[in-house]
Amino acid sequence: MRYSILYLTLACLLVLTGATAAQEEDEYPEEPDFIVGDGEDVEAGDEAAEDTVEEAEEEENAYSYVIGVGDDETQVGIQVSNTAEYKLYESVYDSAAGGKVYGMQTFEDDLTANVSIDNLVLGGTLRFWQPRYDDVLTYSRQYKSELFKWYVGYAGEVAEARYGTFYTTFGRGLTLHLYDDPIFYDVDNFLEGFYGHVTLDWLDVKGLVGRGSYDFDPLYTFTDDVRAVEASFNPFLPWIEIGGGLVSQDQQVGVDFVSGEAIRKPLLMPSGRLKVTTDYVDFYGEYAASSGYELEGTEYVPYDGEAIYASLVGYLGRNSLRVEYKNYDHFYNHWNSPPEVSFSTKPLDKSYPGKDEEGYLVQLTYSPLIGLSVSGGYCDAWDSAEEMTRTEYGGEVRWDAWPWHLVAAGWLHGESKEYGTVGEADYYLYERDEIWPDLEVSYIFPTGHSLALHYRHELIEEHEVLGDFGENDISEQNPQGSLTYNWPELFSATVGAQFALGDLRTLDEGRDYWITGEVTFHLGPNHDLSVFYGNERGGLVCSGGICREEPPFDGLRVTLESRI
Amino acid sequence: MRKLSALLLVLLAGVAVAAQAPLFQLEDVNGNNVKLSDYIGDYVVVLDFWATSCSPCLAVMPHMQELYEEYKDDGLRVIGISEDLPRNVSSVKAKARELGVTYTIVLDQNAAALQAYQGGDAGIPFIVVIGYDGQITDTFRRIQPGDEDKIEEAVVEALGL
Repeated sequence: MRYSILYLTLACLLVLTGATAAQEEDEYPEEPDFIVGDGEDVEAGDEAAEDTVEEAEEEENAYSYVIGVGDDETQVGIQVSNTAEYKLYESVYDSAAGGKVYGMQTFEDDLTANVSIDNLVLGGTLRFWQPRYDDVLTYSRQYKSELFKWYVGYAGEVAEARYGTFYTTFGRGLTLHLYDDPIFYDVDNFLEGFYGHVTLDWLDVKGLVGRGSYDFDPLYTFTDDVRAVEASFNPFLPWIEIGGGLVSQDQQVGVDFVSGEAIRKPLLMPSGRLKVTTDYVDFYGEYAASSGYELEGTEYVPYDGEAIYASLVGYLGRNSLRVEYKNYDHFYNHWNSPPEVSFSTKPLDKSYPGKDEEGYLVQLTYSPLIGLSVSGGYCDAWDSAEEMTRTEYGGEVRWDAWPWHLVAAGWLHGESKEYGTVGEADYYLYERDEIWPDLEVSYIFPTGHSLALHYRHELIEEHEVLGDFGENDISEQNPQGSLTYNWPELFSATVGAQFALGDLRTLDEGRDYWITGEVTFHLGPNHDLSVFYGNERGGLVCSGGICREEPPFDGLRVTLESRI
Repeated sequence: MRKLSALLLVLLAGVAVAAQAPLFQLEDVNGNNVKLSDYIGDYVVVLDFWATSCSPCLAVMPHMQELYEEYKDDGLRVIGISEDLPRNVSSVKAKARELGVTYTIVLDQNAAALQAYQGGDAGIPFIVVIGYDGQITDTFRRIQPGDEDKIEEAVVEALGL
């Protein structure tokens, strides 16, 4: 309730501010110069900048938000955005209900504001979510009404300090990677606590103390305490960088089912890395060790692990050769994301990425002209017992003749094998062979309207041996495509279809075709209204070249995005 | 406290708020630290948020390169902000070279810069035009063919040409 009141108050303030801003714009129909400032930042001789400042002064800084306080001038920056989304599910699978639920409705509103006053920064995201979290256990902790993210801090030239929600990355994410990826994977694994960052010409130091909740199931939310420090410096030459870090966690590894108390074990990850950057060759290599605890039977026993990741990229003009190598052994926690070293970005073991996998990747790209490129690559990965393997090879031809058209045609062939034993006599074998031809074409008409087509045809062969239970062979095809028509400044409309043909795999959604339609109306430069109707298959969903991992959806979705 | 009170007064009074570009400091593909604050005051800056796996983003980059070459002597700087995760970082520089890009490319591996500019609902391609004074003069979301002319118009206006 208190969040609802706070939310409504802030929303009213937002609307009032926006409305007044719009009124101000009406009073100044001529295009204003959005120029303020004290002019001290404009160097002598920079004629364009000087002219612009003069024009702004003539306009009496109508749109200025430089606030004069005594002799000081305070720079204030404000960004506010709001996203409201309504969903009407025709049906949705609810794990808590143990089956499908029909006619469920949800409403979510994220109000995000960031304010900077000179070097002081503060901001946050207020989330309003209906129905109540307690009513629908399907959704994780992120889906409830709360001050979802918040921070206050200092951001200066040399130092940055923040208390509250923060993100950061150590190296290539081998030991620590805190990020929000709403575009591709809908992952948001921030920490809350203190974060500090000092940057000098030759030295870069980060330190943090925070707590984060790791959700892999709404019924099991694990909370970890993370302490970490990292430093990198250029000791001798500017193109060489040496770095290292230490991540220490009190990691929740389980729950005592008798007492209900969290079971916490320490995890330590020291690391060191070397980066060499030149015009012709880039090298990155990192080594890290880990010591933690893992469940063996009913006991948590200590283990030691290690990880090596290296990449080497050579350049010749616009052409390049990329080689990557990984060797991860008992190397995983809730707050890192080791590079997958694969084209499909699939880790070898999807359950425990980084637990036991070794592999390499080679990719060659030839670009005879700007806008035209041909690339091909191969990658292979295996575990230490070679019970799991994954091989991929494929290629792509891209021809970008912007603004007239874009053509990208590619294919990827992946082979996976998983072998395991069940009991003493039974064994399990799973082999999967998949080919994904992929085509993107877009064309712009002389009127400025454009048409874009995306088509992918997945061919999947699966061979499964379940010990004495027999074999199971599956052959499935997934033709899928989308067509988008765009009328600039007014709307864009997309229709999409996907079919599952052949010997169908077991489909949780209980269907073998998926049809979608979506129209996005551009209500001025700062507001977009999208209406979607149809059913989306779960998994990797791509639209307009942007892909993300989505759960299945069946119904109506209305989204309003606003930026003020 | 006086400054904060002044801010609140301004907000309540309804003075228009044109957005100040959030400052960031990110590492470029050559390992150098790039600060947006170093550009403010001296240049008009175009931020191009992109990723190697985003086809529309790749399609617009050669045009951004043309824009940069045409107006760099007039005070334009372009910063390409890669939203690639660490798993893809090794291919960012190669992709930029393949597209003939010579402007600065920085890495936003935890999407902090994108979040600062777009808030909760982020999407790419996304282009921001920042004036000499550090204020955002125009933004372009989900670029489509044909938008390049509008981007150029926004740049020319920001440059005062």
